[in-house]
This record gives sequence, structure tokens and C-alpha cells, in this order.
Amino acid sequence: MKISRRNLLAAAGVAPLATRLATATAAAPAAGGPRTAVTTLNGRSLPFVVKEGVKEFHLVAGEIEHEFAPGTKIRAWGYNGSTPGPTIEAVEGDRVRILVTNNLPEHTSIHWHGILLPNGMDGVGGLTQPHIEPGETWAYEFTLRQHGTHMYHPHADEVVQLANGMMGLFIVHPRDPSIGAVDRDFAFLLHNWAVHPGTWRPDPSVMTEFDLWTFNSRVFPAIEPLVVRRGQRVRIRVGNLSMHEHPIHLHGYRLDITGGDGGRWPRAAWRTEVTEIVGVGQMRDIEFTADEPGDWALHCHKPHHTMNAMGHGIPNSVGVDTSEVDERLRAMLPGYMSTGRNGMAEHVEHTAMGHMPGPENTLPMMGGEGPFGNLEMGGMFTVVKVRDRLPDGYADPGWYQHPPGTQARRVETPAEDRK
Amino acid sequence: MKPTEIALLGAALLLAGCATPSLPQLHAQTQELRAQRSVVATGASRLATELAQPLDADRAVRVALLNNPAVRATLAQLQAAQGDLYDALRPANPTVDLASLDAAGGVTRVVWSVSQPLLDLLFTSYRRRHGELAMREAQQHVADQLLRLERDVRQAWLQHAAATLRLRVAQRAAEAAELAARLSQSYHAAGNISELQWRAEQSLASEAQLQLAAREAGELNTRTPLLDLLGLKHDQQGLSFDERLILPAAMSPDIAALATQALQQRLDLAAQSAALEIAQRESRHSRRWRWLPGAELRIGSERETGQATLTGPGATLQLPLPNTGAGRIARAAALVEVRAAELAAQQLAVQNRIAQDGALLAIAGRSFDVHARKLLEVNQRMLELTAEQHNFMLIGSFELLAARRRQIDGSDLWIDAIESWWRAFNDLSYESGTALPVPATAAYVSAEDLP
Repeated sequence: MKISRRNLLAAAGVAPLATRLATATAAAPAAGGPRTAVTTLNGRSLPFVVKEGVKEFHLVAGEIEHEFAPGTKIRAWGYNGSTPGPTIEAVEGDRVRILVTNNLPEHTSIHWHGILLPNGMDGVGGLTQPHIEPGETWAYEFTLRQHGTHMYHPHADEVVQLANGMMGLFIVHPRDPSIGAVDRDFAFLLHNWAVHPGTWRPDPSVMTEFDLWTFNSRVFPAIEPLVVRRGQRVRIRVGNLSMHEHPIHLHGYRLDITGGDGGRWPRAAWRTEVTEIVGVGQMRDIEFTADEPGDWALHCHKPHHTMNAMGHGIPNSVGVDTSEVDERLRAMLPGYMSTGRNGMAEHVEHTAMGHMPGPENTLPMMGGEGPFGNLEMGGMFTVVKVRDRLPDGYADPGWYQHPPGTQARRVETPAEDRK
Repeated sequence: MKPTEIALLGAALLLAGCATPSLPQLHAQTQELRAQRSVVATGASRLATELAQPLDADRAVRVALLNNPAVRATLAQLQAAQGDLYDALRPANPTVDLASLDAAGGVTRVVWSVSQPLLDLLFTSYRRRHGELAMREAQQHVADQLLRLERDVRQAWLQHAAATLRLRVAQRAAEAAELAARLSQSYHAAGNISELQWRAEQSLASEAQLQLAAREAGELNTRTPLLDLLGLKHDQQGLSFDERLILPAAMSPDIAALATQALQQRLDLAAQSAALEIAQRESRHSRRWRWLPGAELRIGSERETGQATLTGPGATLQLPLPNTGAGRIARAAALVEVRAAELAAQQLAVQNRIAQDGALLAIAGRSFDVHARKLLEVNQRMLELTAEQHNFMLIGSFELLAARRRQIDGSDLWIDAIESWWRAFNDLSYESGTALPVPATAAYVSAEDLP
């Protein structure tokens, strides 16, 4: 089914407001002062206007068209036309006013996850405020009394609204720019999606068996790489609004875990890890100094979270010799291919080459091609690209060219290959 | 079916289409009908020609008319009717009495007479008409039996063809189940599925084999009645059947018109009308002649030795007393009631059956178009989608094979729909006394066309 973005925006009433925002807000996203702006993977920060000393942001909730990766689009719910919504960046001490317009077909509210604020601004529909009904615009206003990595998400019909992708990052920079200063400041949210193969709307009834695992609502290979110049101090802010915990692992570096849900930790509380588990509803700040160039994998260490949709509980084909019946099966089922006897890698070969077409609007469970072959990844996977030189700024510099003698090499081939 | 190729049916239809024929016409038609049978009965080469090709429905009808023993018996009824007509057209033979009486003294008296029943002579015209009606009734009855045979052959052929296709379906389903069982054995041997899962697939395969055996029996059970109708033995050499069915085509016959037509053209109704007319004539005749139950004319001569010869006519008259003929009249009147009631009941049944067959044809047509055709398309699409899921390892091979089995099983409903349509078509065609036109641009479905 074709989903028309224009139709969706129009239906959600987003388009006029988006236009209004674009014309009313000339200010580019900024953290203020010399601070390093946050790079939201595949995303952006939310513009604001200053009115009588108050930074005013405007979030518009509505139905959107969202693409996880080329070939898979869904009808999701988000803010300002995207999931996750734009990142709100402000500075400790700022007075912020956040207007929330509800263009959803049902009521909503926004909870400012981890932000210290008056109870009436906490955004729990029915508890701290009436719900924001469709068509209404409400204002949340409070002063930021902390700094750290935080999130926002609905606290109304949460199962549906979170499952549909309503979430965003809320990053409060320290008033003192020297605190936690980094050269590159990346941020993304972890999430899971039940978009069953062949469908185009998330299924909120699913609790554990999800189809897609995302960084900022994207799956590999559509997740942007984290491009870093060698020697830079890098922070990766990770928030988890999925239903599972995720051990986030970066290759090649020892990571300083410098902050969590309560904000930046004292130096003495930092931990050194290579994998940091980010629990449900938690945030973590991960920092390192990019002193080793290369293409370094960054991913959730649960193997199924670096895959896209796959069958759960289907008979395992590894080690199964089906040659006796393959020919008859192909006669009965034209196009039938038995794969997986020697593992799933051959399956990736077939799907990558288009031999085995899959369901509409569905990504193969693994994909992505690297400089040396199939990456056989999906879901929560991307690459931190550390380079000595970045002539095009932070645009994707391509694959890493390994200096001679720094790469694994084949030392033996099977006897039959030698012949 | 070409009428020229079906001589007997052609003759039967000729009879059906005639208005009240004259006596010579009746004779000619009867002879024609019997001659056709005689020709085809001796035409062994014609039968061989028909059997040289797989029997489709039309060819099966031709073979039945050539070869069915019941057709011979049916046509013999015509001969019997002709004999009856011969008798009816002739008055009773005269009676000759001759006596030679000796008395004492050498006296001999010779007496002779010739007598003829008077009423027989008076009723010549009545008997003639009666005979014509009886002959007509017999012809119509025979022709109706031939048309009924045609319908029966078509239905039997249809049942057999459908059963054969269902057998092919079961063979495919059994193969799919067997493949799944063998695949499951491989999975179990590799240590990837439990014995329970393996046995479950084996169980399904066994069930499919049982279903296949039931279908084989089903094919046999429909084959034997068809062979009976064709007059062929079960081991007839070279016999083969066309396993294709013609796909139904859209048609909306005017049921009211067909019902009206049936009342005019149905041969069994015509035969019953003739029987009623006979009964009515008999009833009238009984009433008209009740006071003259019997009469005889006689001419005789008597001569005695030495005496003059006495010659002269005589007459005998049966008196209508004490039996006034009331019983005969009542019986004849009752027979009229019986025949009229039988005719009315048959007319009612015919109209009801036509209405039913018309409705069944419409239902079968709808089922075929709306459901069976769609089911086939949907099942095909479902299998494609399932294959796509299998390609992406979203489901396993057993689920894919199960989808294939579902698709195969869905063919049964498709065959059911086609069979139902043709059954209704054949019945309506016979019931209405009209050969409904078979779709000219008919497409066939064979086992190869089934999923």
C-alpha cells in the first residue's frame, strides 16, 4: 500500500503548523553558548523562540509516515512529523515553555521523563492534568533545575502511543559549558516495534515478540554512522523506551559511563565498560576518546536485536539435510529454496541478491553490505567512524581503509580450494 | 452434441416435437425409432470409434445409446405397442358354428351359422382412436426414457469426472503431506525437532493417505454406475475417460418460460395426457353404451334330411339387467380421476423441480463465481504470501507445506462448485424438456489446472 506523506500530514493537521513553525522560528537548534550541539542520529533538534526570557518550543503530536529503512514504511504516531520527535535542547536554568498540540485521533499528554519540575507539569494524564484532547494545544512551563540526558513521551494510552513511536529526547546542558564538554555529542533512543511482516501499522498488543529494534526509529543499514575525528572526545547519550533492556556495546574502546537517569555522575562514580546495559526507561551517557581510527561497530549485544523480523519458534534448519526431498519440494512449490543447513548466512546471500522475495513492506532479517561482504546485521546496529581526516566535515566518509599490516589475513584455505 | 450423431435421441426429440400424428405417421416414426436402434446396435465399429477416445459427456451419451441393454428393452416396448395397435384396428373375428345332428331313422340335421359381435363393428372408429392414443403414449414413454437415460448418463459421467479430479487432489495433498513427513524426519534426525513434532507430521501424512484411499474408493463408486449406463464391463479394453470438466458460464434462464415449455414439451407429461385421454374416452364409451352391453349378428342355415333348407339372419342382444353397467361406468370414471390426478401431480412436480433446479443453478453459479473462483485465487495468493514469509524465514517449511495442503484442499470446493452447477444444469435441461445451450466458449478445467 502506498502511503502518501502529504496525505498523512494533511490528515494529521501537521502541515499548516509545520509551516507556521518554519516561518515563525528562524533560530537554528542551539544548546546555547559554546556548547557542542547534540547530533540526534537520523534526527534533529527542535527550534525554539524566546519570548520574554522563556524558551518556547512547540511539539505537534500526530500521525506520520515513517521509514525504518528503504523498503519499509509505516503509519506511526510522532511529533512534528517524525519518530522520535525532535530533540529538545536547553540549558540548565532555562525557563522553558513547551506547547503541545494534539493532532492525534485520541487524547494525549506529555511526560518529561527525568526532568525535575512542579508536579502539575509532570504530564500524567488523569493524575496531574486532564488529558489533552484532539485539536487542543496545552502549555507546559517550568524552569530547568538540572542537566543531563532525559526523554519525553506520552503518559496517556501509553501502550498504544509508545508502540506507535511517540517519544523524544530532552537534553539539558549544564550551565557551565566546561562540565562534560565533548567534541561530538550523539544521542539516540532505543525502541522496539511490532510491525508484523506485510503490515504498515505498529501492533500495540505485542509485549515481548517484536519485529524491529531501532536506534531513533531506524534499523541498520539506515541508521546514520557516528562520524568522529581522531582524538575527539565523544559522548553517546542513549535512552531506552523499549520493552527490553539493551546491552549497548561499542567495539574498539573502553567506555566511560558518565551519567544516567539522575544526570551526570561525579568522576569517581564513572565506570569503565565496553558494554553498558540500558534498562527500560533508563538513560546512559557513554563517553570515550576516539584515539583509534577505523569503523567500529556500535550495537545492542542481544543478537536478535541486531536482526529485523524473523520467525520465532520456527523449526531450526541448521544441520538438516533436505537434499532428498528438495527437488520434489521445488516441483510442488515453485521458487522453494531450502536454506539454513549450514547457518543463516547463505540465506542473507539469497535475500540480498533478490532470489527470495519477501513480504511487502518487510526487511530481510539481516542485511547491509560492507567493504568485505555482507554485514549480516539489522536492527540496533551502526558504525562509529573514526578518521584522521574528515575533508567533508561530518558527512559519511565511506569505509575505512586499513593501513597495511593492520588487518586480519587468511593464512590457510581448504585443500580443495588450493587445487 | 450433434443431433445427427445421436440418431435415437434425434428420433425421440422428433416425437416430442410432433403434434398429434396420423396413424401412418405413428407407424413411420415407430419404425424409424426402431430402425435407428437396429442400425446402431449392429454398428460395433461405431462403438469402437467412440471408445477410441477418452469419453467426455457427449461421447458417453452416444455410447450409452449404442450399448446400454436397457435401451434395447425400452425399444422393444415400441414393438409391443405396435402389436397392440394392430389388434385394436381390427374387429373381432367372426364365429362359425357348425353342427350335424343325427336322429333315429337316418334323419340328419345340419346346422351352421356365422356370427359377428355387433358392437365390435360399431366401435371400429373408437378402437382406432384408442389404438392411436395408446401407441402415442408408448412412443412418448419410450422417448422420455431415452431422454432420461441421457440425463442419467450425463450426471453419472459428471459424478465420475468430479470424483476423478478429487482423487487427483487427494494425490497431491498426500504428496505434500508425505514430503512434510520426510522433511520432519530430516529435522528430527538433525536433532532440531522433537519426536513429537516428527510424529505429528507423520500422522498428517497417514491421514492424507487414508483420505487418498477414500477418494480412490469414491472414484470407483462413481465409475461402476457409469459403466452400467454405458453397457460396458469394468475391464473394457481401451476405455478411458476425459477427466476435464467444462467451467460453468454465466447464464440466467427464464425459469417461468422453461416451466411453461415443460408443460408443453415434457414427454412423460404428454404420455400421461394420452393415458388420461384414453381413460376419458373409455369412460364416455362406457356411459354411452351402458344399455347395450353386448349384441351379436348372426346368419345361419339349417337343413334336415328330406326337408327344405332354412336360411336366415339372427341377432343376440345382451340385456342390461340385472347388471346395468353401473360398476363398469364407476370404474372407468375412477380411472379418469386416477389418470387426471397422476397428471396433475406430475405437472406440479415438474414445475417445482424446474423452480428448484433454476434456483440451484443460480446458487451454484454464484458459488462458483463469487466463492469458488475467488477461493482459488485467494488460496493461490495466500500460498505466494506464505512463500514470501518462508523466504524471509518468518515461518518454517512445515507451515509452507501446510499452506500448500490448504490450497490443495481448497480445490475440492472448487470441484464441488463446478459439479453442483452442472448437476443443476443437466437436471434443468431434462426437467424443462429443453436442451439448454451449453456455453459455446467453454473453458475446461483439468487436474493440471488445479493448484
